[in-house]
Amino acid sequence: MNAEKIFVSLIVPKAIGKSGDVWVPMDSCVLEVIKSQKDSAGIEKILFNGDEFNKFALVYLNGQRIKDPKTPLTFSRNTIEVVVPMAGG
Amino acid sequence: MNLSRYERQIKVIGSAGQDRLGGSSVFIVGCGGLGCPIAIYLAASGVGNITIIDDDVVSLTNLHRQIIFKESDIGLPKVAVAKKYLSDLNSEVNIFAIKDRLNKDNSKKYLEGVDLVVVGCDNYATRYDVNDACSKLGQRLVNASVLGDEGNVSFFDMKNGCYACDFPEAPPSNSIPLPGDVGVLGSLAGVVGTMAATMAIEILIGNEINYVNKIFTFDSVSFRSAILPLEKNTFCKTCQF
Repeated sequence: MNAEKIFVSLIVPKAIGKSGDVWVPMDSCVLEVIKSQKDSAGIEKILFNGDEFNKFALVYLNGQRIKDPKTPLTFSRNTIEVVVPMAGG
Repeated sequence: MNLSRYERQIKVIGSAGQDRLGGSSVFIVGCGGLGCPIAIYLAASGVGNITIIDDDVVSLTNLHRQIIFKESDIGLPKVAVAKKYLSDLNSEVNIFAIKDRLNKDNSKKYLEGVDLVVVGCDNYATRYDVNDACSKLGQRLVNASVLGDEGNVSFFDMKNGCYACDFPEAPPSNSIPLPGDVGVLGSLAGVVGTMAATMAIEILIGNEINYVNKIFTFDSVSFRSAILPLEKNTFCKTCQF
């Protein structure tokens, strides 16, 4: 493990994007982690105007809801989870 | 009521819990992949009054996940088939079948007076119409949904928020695929439906505090589940004005 980097598990509903694990610099924020993903279609569905969360995307950092995409990552291991409404029954 | 059929359940929830179920009324919106297991388990567990609303008929493409229906039911109204199935399963519960589509105009009429509403329909519009009505009536609401190989269940007691507090409006079209686009794993609908039924039973016997304003997610590919908080929006256009 690189001491200057922290681990982030990004969990995205498969209907809108891809989940993945990444190592990012210690001072990174949630927005930077999301934007670091190669899945541009998924990023567009999570973010509005590139720097806000979409109204229909609930974003959680380590189990707590966050509304500011610039929320910093504070732990050495982090989970960012995205929840979207689903229509199916 | 013959309590011996509930003997093993009473060992878990007690006679008082079983009595509460027997005296309860639940309104199930949608008789599809979620509505079927929800209705089966609520009827089997002895919920005294169960109403199911759906305006659809059984089709071949339903059968991989809508476990009440058989090939011989194709073309028949779902709620009529469900009523017979559930009454055969447990003749001691009252089953009310409504062949209709719940909407803004009729939701208040249908939902008034029930103890709990459980939504397992297949579209956003009905979910918002039901949430609106539940908010106005102060009705408790369990919302269950699936998509592909993932699903979730959430509970709103309407005092601490509603579905629209967290999802103020339906996603724009094409932003999130619809069930018809990505499909649904049949057995996943069973998992999420039984989660919703279990939640409904626990709420009816008095354990709702464990579920208020939480969303429970499940991914069948990894069996990963999560419990995440929802929150009341003090500016919610549905429940705060």
